[in-house]
Amino acid sequence: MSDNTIRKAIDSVESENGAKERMYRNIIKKARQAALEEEPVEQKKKAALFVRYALPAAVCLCLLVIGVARFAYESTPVQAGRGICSGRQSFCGGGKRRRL
Amino acid sequence: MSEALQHTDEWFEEFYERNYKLVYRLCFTYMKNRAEAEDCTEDVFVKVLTGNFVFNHETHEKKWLTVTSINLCKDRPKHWWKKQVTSIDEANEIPEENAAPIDETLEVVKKLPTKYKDVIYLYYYMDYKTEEIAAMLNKPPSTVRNHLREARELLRRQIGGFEQ
Repeated sequence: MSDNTIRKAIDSVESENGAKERMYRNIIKKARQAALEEEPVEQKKKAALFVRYALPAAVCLCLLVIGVARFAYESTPVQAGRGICSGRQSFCGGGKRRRL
Repeated sequence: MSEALQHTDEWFEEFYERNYKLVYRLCFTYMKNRAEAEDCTEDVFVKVLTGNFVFNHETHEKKWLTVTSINLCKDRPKHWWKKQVTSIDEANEIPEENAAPIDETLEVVKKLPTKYKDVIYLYYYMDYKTEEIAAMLNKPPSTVRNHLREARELLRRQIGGFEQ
């Protein structure tokens, strides 16, 4: 067996009668379909990118803001005891914690 | 849509006329039957139409078509649906396929593992050098040479003597 045997074997492959025209028609049809579907695919890609990157980033940002606000609130100096807030205790946070 | 249709002119007709046999033969070597080979051939040309590729010369064109066809043929059986389902068309195709005799050597080549089929096809049919094949398949040249040697060994065992 020589390398020509392989060449001849592959060269012997012929498409069926009418396959050439059939394939050509299908190619044009598929290309048209692909072109029509192009736009929604773009939109889907954008939505996927948003869900993948923008949404987690927004969630992280929110968590950061909440965390910073909470930290700032908790680290605010408080004065124990009476004096600043007079009147009903409920107006002054029950008298436990008073902000300066 | 207009972009895709720009290619359905004389250029694409000539391009198709020039290359469809090459692509079909390659696809037929990789696929189980004629219906799948036709499907795969169509997909390759659809890619040309929708991708707006520019080919510098005929060698570039043939190289691109060869690599794309091989990749599409390899990707095709990965679809789980394909693995599970045989369409009515394909089922009808099988007896016809069996009726048409296929060259004995081709039958053996078709049954080779894909890694051997790649190198055998590119080396013996397309006349590429091992370095070119290595570049096309993204493999080291030594791997390509090893695959060629092993493929020859397999063919020798199944068909008979094999001259270098």
